[in-house]
Amino acid sequence: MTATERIGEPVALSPVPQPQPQSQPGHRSVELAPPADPMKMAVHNLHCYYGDFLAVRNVTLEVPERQITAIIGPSGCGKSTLLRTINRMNDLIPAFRATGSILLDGEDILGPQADPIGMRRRVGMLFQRPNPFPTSIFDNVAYGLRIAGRMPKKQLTETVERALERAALLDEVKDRMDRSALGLSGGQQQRLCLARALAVEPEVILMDEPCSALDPIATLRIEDLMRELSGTVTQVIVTHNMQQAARVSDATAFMLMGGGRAGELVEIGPTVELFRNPRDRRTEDYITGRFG
Amino acid sequence: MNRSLRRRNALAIGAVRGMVLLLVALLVWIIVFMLIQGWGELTRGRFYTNVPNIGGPGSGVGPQLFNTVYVLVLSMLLALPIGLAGGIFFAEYAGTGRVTNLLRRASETLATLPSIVVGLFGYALFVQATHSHPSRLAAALSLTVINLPYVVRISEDALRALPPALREGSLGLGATRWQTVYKVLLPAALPALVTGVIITAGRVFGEAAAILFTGSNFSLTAHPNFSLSPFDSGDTLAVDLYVFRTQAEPAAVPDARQYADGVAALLVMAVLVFNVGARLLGRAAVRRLQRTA
Repeated sequence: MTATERIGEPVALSPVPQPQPQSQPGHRSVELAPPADPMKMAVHNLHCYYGDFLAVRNVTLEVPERQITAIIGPSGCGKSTLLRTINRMNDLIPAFRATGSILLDGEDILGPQADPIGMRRRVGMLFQRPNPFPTSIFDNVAYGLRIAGRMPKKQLTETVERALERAALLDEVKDRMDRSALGLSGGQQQRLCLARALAVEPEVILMDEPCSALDPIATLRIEDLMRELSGTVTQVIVTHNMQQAARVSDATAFMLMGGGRAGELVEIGPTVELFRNPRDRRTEDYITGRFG
Repeated sequence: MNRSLRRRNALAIGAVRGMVLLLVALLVWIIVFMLIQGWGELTRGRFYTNVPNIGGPGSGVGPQLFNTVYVLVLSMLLALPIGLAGGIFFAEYAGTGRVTNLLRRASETLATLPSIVVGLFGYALFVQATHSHPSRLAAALSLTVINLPYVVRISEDALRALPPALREGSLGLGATRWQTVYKVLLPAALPALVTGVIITAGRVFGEAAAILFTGSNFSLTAHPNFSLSPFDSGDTLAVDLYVFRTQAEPAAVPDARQYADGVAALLVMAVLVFNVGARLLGRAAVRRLQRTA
């Protein structure tokens, strides 16, 4: 059985032991996450196209609830496309389309009945570069709450402060909430964006290389926050930084550019397992630095 | 680098510098020339308060200045909402289909129409077809036809120039397209919008051809008033300049030439103020958005 065939079925973190790939003789059976783990999201046979170009081929994976799932892989392997399809951010690209299904609590967000606006309130996103709005710190965090409907002033203030607290930013900004968010440092801006996402109490947060524009200290602060949030929020992080995936995530998915430059899922498993005993030869090559 | 390459390089840089210098010199020359010619009038107090009188000496620009600002503001009030809506449509909603291309082509063609043709069209539509007379409203409507494609273009460019991350950040929080435009993109585009709109206003400020047909009643003394009615006729500075320089009897109006020079200098100054003011206001808007102090 080839790896390509294997990823066609939902191998991810399923309690059923997986067959050994032939390229890995003497490989142990993989210890998988506890079967009781509820799945927050499930991607089935997802294909993503930009016009005629197939960017992601037949990805099937599951995202366990209130854990951190990392997607790693070299540039151009479709990991960002996959992530941006999960909250339908790629709808903005005219020629983009996706087939297959993405279930959020069992409901297909790609289906004809799907409501991307309501869904994005449940599935927030943190971007590669901090993207605060050119308004005050307070207004940035309040934005998601205000567009969702009216809220009494007092409650709004409390919710904003709680979100900033959760993003470990409140102490640094509490005496300048009415100043422009653009005056904050890069790391602070990214934590502000996290607070902005957290304010609307999302169930899932997608992070697209959230630390790639940050210095090492700011990166560590974001990673600490991710660990603190796991247990309350489901997180999916795309990163090209393997150490980051190893440090923060509970499960890791490895993607690679396959035939026709289409991104494919090579394997997914508990992070410790994937890094210690990769099932696929290509994963091993990548994490040991033999390519990529 | 060999010698001939070096020489050609030096020659090209020299040519480019020369052209830029020529451009600057031309502009400075026009401005200085106009100001010197019009200085006598610009420093004469009555120039700003008197009414224009093509039958005798000592005319002033008072009502014309008022009319010019009146017509400009009125036409901007008409062009802004329509043009902004068009710009938002092109930048945020329109795809890349055939209809969109046709619409964009139409808007761009409108921008290239000679203003005298727009004036004639305005005369036929806003004056003759409505069985009325030239008025500030008809002039403002004609100016709106001239303005509109520029405002559309400015709004579209201002929105397109924003980083896509702003759009995504807003949509990622569950905002609709319109909430994103209204609450995030337009405020962020405000500096560019302000600058662009004021520069467009400057262009319209000096427009004469369209107003000759639609706003002027060709008898300067008939309505030299400060009334607020949009149905009164009214010349603008540029029309006044044209009329005095070409129609005044030298015997009756010995100072017609000085007066016209004064109006020209005033127009040049006004356009300069528009340009500099636009940049200052735009910069102030950016500072407001990025206020960190």
